[in-house]
Amino acid sequence: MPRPLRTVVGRLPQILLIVGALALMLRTERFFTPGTLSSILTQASIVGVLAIGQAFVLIGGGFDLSQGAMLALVAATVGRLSQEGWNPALCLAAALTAGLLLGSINGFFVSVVRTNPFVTTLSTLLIFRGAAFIMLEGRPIPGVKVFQAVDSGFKLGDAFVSYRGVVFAVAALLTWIVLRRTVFGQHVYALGGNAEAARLAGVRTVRLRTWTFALSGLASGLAAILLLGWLRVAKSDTATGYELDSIAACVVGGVSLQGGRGSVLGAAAGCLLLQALRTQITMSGFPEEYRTFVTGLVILTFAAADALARRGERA
Amino acid sequence: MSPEAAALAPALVSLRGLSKSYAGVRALKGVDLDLRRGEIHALCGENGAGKSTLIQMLGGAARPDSGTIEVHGQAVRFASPAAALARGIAVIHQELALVDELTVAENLALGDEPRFGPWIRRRAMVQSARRKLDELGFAIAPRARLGSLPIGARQQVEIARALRRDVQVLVLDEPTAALSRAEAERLFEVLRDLRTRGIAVLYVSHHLDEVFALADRITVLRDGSKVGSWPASETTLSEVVAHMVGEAVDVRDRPARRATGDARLKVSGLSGGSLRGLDLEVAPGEVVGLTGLAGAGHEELSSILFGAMRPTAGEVVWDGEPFRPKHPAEAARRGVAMVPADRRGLGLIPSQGVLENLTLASYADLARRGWLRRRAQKAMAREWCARFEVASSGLSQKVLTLSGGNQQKVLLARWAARNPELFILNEPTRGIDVKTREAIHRWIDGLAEAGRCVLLITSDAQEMARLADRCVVLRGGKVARVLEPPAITEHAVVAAVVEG
Repeated sequence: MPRPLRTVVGRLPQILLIVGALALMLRTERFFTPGTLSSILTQASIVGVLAIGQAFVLIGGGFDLSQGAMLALVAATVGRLSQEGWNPALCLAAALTAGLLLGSINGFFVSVVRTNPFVTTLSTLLIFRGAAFIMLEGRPIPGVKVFQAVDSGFKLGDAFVSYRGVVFAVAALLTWIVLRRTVFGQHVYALGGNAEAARLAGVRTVRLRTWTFALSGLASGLAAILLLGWLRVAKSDTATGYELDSIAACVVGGVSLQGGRGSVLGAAAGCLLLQALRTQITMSGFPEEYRTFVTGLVILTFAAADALARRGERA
Repeated sequence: MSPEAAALAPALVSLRGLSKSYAGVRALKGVDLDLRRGEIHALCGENGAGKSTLIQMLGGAARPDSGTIEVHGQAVRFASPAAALARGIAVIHQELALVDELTVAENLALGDEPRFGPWIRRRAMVQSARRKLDELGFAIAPRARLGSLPIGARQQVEIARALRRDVQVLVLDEPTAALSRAEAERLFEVLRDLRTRGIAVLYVSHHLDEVFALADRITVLRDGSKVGSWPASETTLSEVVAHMVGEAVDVRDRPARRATGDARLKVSGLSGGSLRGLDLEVAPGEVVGLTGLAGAGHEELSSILFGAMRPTAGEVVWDGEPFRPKHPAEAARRGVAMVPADRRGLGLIPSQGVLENLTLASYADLARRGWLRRRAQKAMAREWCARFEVASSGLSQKVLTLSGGNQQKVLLARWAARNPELFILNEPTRGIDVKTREAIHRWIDGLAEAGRCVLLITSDAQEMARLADRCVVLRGGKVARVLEPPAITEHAVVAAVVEG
């Protein structure tokens, strides 16, 4: 393959991402306004936070299917605690701690017991979701107001920026720096690139892998806070399927399912693009029914672009 | 067919002037070889002599750069192993190509199952498997799950599978490496039986005692060229060793080193994997070489010493203290470095560049409160790339796009940058060009001069002769022979390894 072409193919996912974003923005006039963009950021925020956690797991060579269920179980826990009269600060701490703990359970099984990540998180998906059902005895808890402060925002020019969107953006930036610039982050890349080589180079792979899953749990806890603040209802079937959305966002954002490649900013961008696409479909008057179909098509396109890019790399 | 008749028979397969280069290195240089009906033909040579390359081309796994392969006097070109098999040439590799989860009968029929429409005719499949196994005299139940059988029986299944076609040439690559003595004897009976059926067997082995027990003719390769072919009855084991090693420079081209002081690494009675009670000592400034045939245990020692594998018994003392690292990170903290033989699989992170691969073991030293100092990281990578003369287009070049020699330099530099006290080096120059090899050898000399302990695990006898101050030959997980200068010559090392 000639060099320029190889460069293009090698960056195919990134190019698609940019072209896709531009196409969406230019497609409709109303689209490219601060208001629309800000609302996309808001709508993308909850899955976006999950995608950040998912990115840690995927880059480390794992896979987390239990995010939506962790979110639901954390939400259920907070719902119960708020009924007990816990104050918002304590509920916040409890949500993050619970998320971290649930994620560590996944991490423990995958890295210490060495069960397959797919099977492990598929099982914990059922266990956590089931635990949420049991905890709520099947009845939603309405009027959970501990996190209602999160459900607001501020004016920036003409646009209203939600705190949810800010949390997502700040979390994406911070974790991006952590992954790029810390020993921990660089070890995660090495772990996903070649776990055995990383271990033989002195990386504590068991501990590290557990941490990637724990962080995915922490992200789920954070997402639960955002969701509860918004909906104010703790339901056991909340956030069903969000884990697939977060994986999709990562794939679109160039995070490799084989591990070792990608970035949090990519995952965040992927999440925004998917959300923008959905908004675009709605705004351009297409029936709602097209959304799922088109989303699937886009994800497959990006996965294919990634596969092609890799093939170019090996040559 | 008697051996005399076999010698007169026309060649089934003739190789003429076969040559092959890999990345500019000539692996095979114009080799001729004849395989005749009803002969067992042994192919001998040191590691890197070109045996594997020859087998690959004969079996259709690689194509020669020049030269021809003739089957029944007719030139052929094999596009794939399937094409070679269609012309009656089957290769049995050390790693068997069978599916453990399937039954023996299913493995034998795989890809060619007796069918009735879309359904497999199971009874016919089992019957045909039984017929084949009986005919070859293998006592194996066709319905047994393959994975439940001992390795010798699995190999028999592989032979039976190869012979279900009209196979005239059977190539076996190191077939006894994983077999017990009894299983090996059984294999020899099978091969002698195949000889009487007119099949030509090409037998590739390091075990010269086996070769002499079995083979009618012996061909020796050295450095990619054929040294010669002899009837087994007209040559001797020590002659073959001499042919394998060649006009070796049996003078060590460096002054003898004196180890300074007492042993710093003491291994006693170490067991685990295939090690059965190993004793070993390494003093500062000493290069101790470790070698043996495949499975002798030298491959596992480094994993155990480096905390990647748990020993079952025995004791290791390093620097006057008991040494039982729970994981490689702990071994690294105690000043031990280990460079694995499998560069791609166990050494490099393919998704990352030279920068990350070179500094991977030093992240803790390069960080302040967990934050990696990029400038220091780049400075370290640049410094060590310069010291090892790594030829790359830059620090961000993906590591697998480097040449093998440069990949190895990156791995060595990864550990050298930590300045460890004990280096465990596995096959440090395998598959590497001559120039880089010499550079790495000089670097190892430098380590010894600087008073480091070096444990050199190599199957390269020339490298052993060049570097080792003591050569320990393992057999069956224990020390079989210890050679000391001036007795560490290439010839002596090869002889010690193959004769035991």
